[in-house]
Amino acid sequence: MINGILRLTVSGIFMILLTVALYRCEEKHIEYRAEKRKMWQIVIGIIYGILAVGGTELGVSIDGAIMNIRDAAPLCAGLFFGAPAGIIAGLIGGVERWFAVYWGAGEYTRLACTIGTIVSGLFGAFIRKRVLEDKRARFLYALAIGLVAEVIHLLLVFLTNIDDTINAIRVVSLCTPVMIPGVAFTVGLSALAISLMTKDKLRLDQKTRKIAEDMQAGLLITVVIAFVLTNSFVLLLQNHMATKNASDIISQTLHDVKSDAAESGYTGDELKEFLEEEVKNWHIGTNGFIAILDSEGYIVAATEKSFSADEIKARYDVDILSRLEEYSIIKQYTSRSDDIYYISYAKMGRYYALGVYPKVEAELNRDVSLYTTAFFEIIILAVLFIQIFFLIREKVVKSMKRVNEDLDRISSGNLDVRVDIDTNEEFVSLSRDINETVDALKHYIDEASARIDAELQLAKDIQYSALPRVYPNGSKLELYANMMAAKEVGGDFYDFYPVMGDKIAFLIADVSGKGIPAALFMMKAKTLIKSLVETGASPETALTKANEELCINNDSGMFVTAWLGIIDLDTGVIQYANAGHNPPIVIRENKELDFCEQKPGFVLAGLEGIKYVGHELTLERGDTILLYTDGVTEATNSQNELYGEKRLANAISKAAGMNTRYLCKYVKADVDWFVGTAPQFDDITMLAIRRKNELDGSLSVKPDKGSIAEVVQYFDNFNEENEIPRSMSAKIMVIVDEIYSNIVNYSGATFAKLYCRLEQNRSRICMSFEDNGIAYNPLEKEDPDITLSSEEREIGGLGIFMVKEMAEDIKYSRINGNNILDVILENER
Amino acid sequence: MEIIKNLDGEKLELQVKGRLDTTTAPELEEVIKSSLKGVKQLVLDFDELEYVSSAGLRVILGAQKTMNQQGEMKLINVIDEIMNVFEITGFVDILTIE
Repeated sequence: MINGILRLTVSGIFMILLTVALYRCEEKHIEYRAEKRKMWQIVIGIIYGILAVGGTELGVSIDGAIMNIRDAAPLCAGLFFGAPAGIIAGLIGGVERWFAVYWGAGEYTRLACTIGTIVSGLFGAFIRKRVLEDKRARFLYALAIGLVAEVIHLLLVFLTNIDDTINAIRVVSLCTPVMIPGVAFTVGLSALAISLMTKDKLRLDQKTRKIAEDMQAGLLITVVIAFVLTNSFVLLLQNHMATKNASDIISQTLHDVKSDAAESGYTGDELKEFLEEEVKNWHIGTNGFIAILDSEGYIVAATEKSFSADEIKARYDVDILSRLEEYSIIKQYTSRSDDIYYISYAKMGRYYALGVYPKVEAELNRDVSLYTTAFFEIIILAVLFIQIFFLIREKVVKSMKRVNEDLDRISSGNLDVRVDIDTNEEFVSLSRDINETVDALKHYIDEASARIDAELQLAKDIQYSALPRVYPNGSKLELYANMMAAKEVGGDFYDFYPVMGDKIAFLIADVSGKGIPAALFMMKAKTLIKSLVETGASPETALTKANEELCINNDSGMFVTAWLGIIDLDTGVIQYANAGHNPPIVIRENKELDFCEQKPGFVLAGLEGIKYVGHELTLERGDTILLYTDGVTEATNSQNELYGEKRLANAISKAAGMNTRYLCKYVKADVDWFVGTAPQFDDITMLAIRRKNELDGSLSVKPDKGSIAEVVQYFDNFNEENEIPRSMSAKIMVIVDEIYSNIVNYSGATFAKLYCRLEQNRSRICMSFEDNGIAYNPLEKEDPDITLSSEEREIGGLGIFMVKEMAEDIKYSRINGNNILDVILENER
Repeated sequence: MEIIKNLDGEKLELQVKGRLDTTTAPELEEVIKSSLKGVKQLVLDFDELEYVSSAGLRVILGAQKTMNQQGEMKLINVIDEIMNVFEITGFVDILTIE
C-alpha cells in the first residue's frame, strides 16, 4: 500500500514538473500567431493524452482496486494550456481506457473511467474558457477543480455499478482517500509551481478581490461547515442505525434458532444433529450466517456461506463469548481471512449459536448514503460556485463595466451620455442617480458659463459704449474707425472729438489685460485724456498728465499704450505723442507709405513721472493716416504665423486712394482672410483720417436732360452716406432740382460741377453748383408775388425763390467764366 | 414716380408716390389732363410723396385752375416736408389741404 502511494506520488510529481516545463516552453517559444497556437494546443493535447494513458497503464493496485491519477492529465492540459488541449487529452485518455480492458485494465470501472476522463477534459476546458476567461487557473481554483473532477469520476463508478452496491462501495471507499487527493494536489501543485516560476503573486495576498471571489469565499466557509455538520450527522445516524439494524437482525435470527431448538426438545447429540441440519436454513442478511459452536469453541455446524474450512475446524475462544451477555454484539470481529464481522451469540444447552454478519454488509447503507451525500454535495457546491460566478458576472460585473464605460465618456467631457442599464432594479436606480447628477452638473456648468458670458458681454458693452460713432466728416477730412472685439474682451479703444480752433483730436489705445477690469480701466484712461485734451492740453502734456493720474492707485498693474494726435483741419498739421503704441502709417496721395518710426514713449500708467515728447507731422491734402493696434499686426493664422507689418503695408498699398471706411474694411478683410479659421485672440482696431482734396467728392457732368438722373443719384448718395434726416434731404433734393434744371434748360453750359459736403461738424450742408454757361445770377431775379390767387399765379421764379427761402445762405460768383452758386443749409440734427 | 388712379363716378382720386420734380412732373400733368373730364372732385393723396419742386407746383397749380372751373380739388395726407414747400410758396392759401 505504501509502495503504491509512493508510486502515485512520484507520477504526480512527474506530471507537475512536466507541466511547469511545458508552460515555460510555451512562454518562451510560442508566438501569438493563430496557426502556431492551434498547433501547440494539439501538441499539448497529445502529450497529456499520452500522460493519461500512462496513468492508466501504470495504475497501482491497492486491495484489488487500481489507483491512478489519470484525470490530472486532461485537467492540467485544459487549465494551464487551453480548452482545446484539455478536450484532446481527455478524449485520448478516455478512449484508451475503454480499450485498455483488452490488455488488462479493470472491466469493472471501464465505463466510469472512460467517461470520467473525458469529462475531466471537458470540465477543465469549460472552466478555463468560460470561468477563467481563458487565463490559466491559480492554485486554489486548480485544487478545487481537481477535487471536483475526481469526485465526478468516483460518483460515476458508483452510478455505473448501482446494481452491485457492495462492490461499488468497496472500490469507491478504497479509491477516495487516494485518488481524490492525488488528482487534486497534482493539479493544484502544478498551478502553484507555475505561479512560483512565473513569480506572479498568489491570489491570496491580493488586497482587492473580485466580488465573485469574495462571495465564493464566504460561501465556501458556510458550505464547508454545513458539509461537515450534515456528514457528521449522517455518519452518526447511519452508524447508529447500522449497529441497531445489525444487532436486531442477528439477535432476531439467534432467537429464532434458539426457539426452534427449544421447540424440538432435543438435547445432547440429538440437538447437535438437529442444529447441523437446521443451521443450513438460517442466514443473516445476504452474506451473514449462523454457526454452532460446542462448549469447547469448535464449530460443529455452519451454513454453506460460512467461514472457510480451516476456520470451521478452528477453535473459537468461547471465553470471550461467555464474558458477554447473550445477544450483545461485537462490532469488530476480524476473521482469520481479515474479513470483519459483527457477531453475537445465543446459548443453547452445551452449544453456542453464533450469529455472524459481515461488517461491509451491515454498514452498506451507511456508506452508500455517506458517499453519495458527500459526492453530490461537492458537485452541487461546485455548480453553485460556477453559478454564482456567472450570475455576478452577468448581473453585476457586466453592468458595472457598462457604468464605468459611460462614466469614462462622461468624465472625458461628453455630458450628453446617458447611463441606461436596465438589467436589474439596483442598476436602474444607479443609472438614474448618475443621470441626475450629470444633469445637475450640466445645469451648473450652463449657469456658470451663462454668467461668464454675461460678464464678457457687459465688458464688451462697456468697451463699445465708449466708442464714438458719429464721424466728424466735413469738406476737409474724412474719418473712419472700427473695432472688432475678440471673444475674450481686450481693452482696445479709439476716440475722436473736435477741439478748439477747428481741430480734431484722435486717439487709439490698447489696455493691457482682458475682461471687465480692462474695460473699466479703458473708460478711465479715455475720459481722462479727453478731459485733458478738451482743456487745451497738447498731446504730450495730456499724456504726461494722464500718466500721473493713471499711476495713482493702479494696484492691479494695468497699463495702456496710446497714440494721441490733434490735427489742424486747415493746415493738416498733426501734433502727436506716443505712449508705447504701434506707430501709425501715413499713406501719401501718391500711394507712398510713411512709417512714423520715431521712438515711442513709455506706456501709460506704467511709471510715474514720465515726460512724453511731442512730435509733428503734416497730412497733405489727399493723404491718409492709419492708426492701428497690435491686434492687426499680431493676428495669427492656424500655422501660428503673424500677419505682420509687411502684409499690412501690402494691403494698405492696394487700398490707397480709397476713402477711409473702405481702407479700414479692406485691411480688416485682408486680416480675416489671412487668419482663416483660427480664433481671434485680440481686439482688432483701426482709425484712419484722410485729408480731403479740393475736388474730393464733386460730380462733373455734361448738363443735358439725361444727366439729371445721375445728379439726383449723386445727392441721394450724399444723403444716404451722411445719414441726412428726411426733412433735410427733401430740401436738398428740391434745391438740386430747381438749380440744376435751370442749368440744363437755360444756361447753355457744356460743363457743370456739383459738390455737396458737410461742414462745421455736420452742422452745415454746403452745396456748390458750377457751370460754364452764360452769366446768370439767379439772386438778382425778383421774387414772385406769393399772395396772388391761383388764377393770377405765374409759376416762373418760384423755384429760385424756394431755394432762397430754404437756404441759410446763398452766394453767387462768376469766376473764370463760370457761374458758381454756393448754397448753405443749416443741418437738422 | 408712381400714380394710382381711382375714379369713383365724378370723384377722381390720385395717389402720387415718389418724387414730384422736373423729371416726373410732366407725367402727372399728362395723367391729370387726360382724366379730369367730367370730374367734379379731384383728390390728390400725397401720403407717399417725398418732395415737390417748382415743376410739381406748376402741375398742382394747373390742376387747381382746371378744378376751379369744374368743381373742387383737395390734397390729403401731405407730409411736413411738402407742407413746408406749400407754406414757403404761399400755396397753402390757394389749395385745400386736409
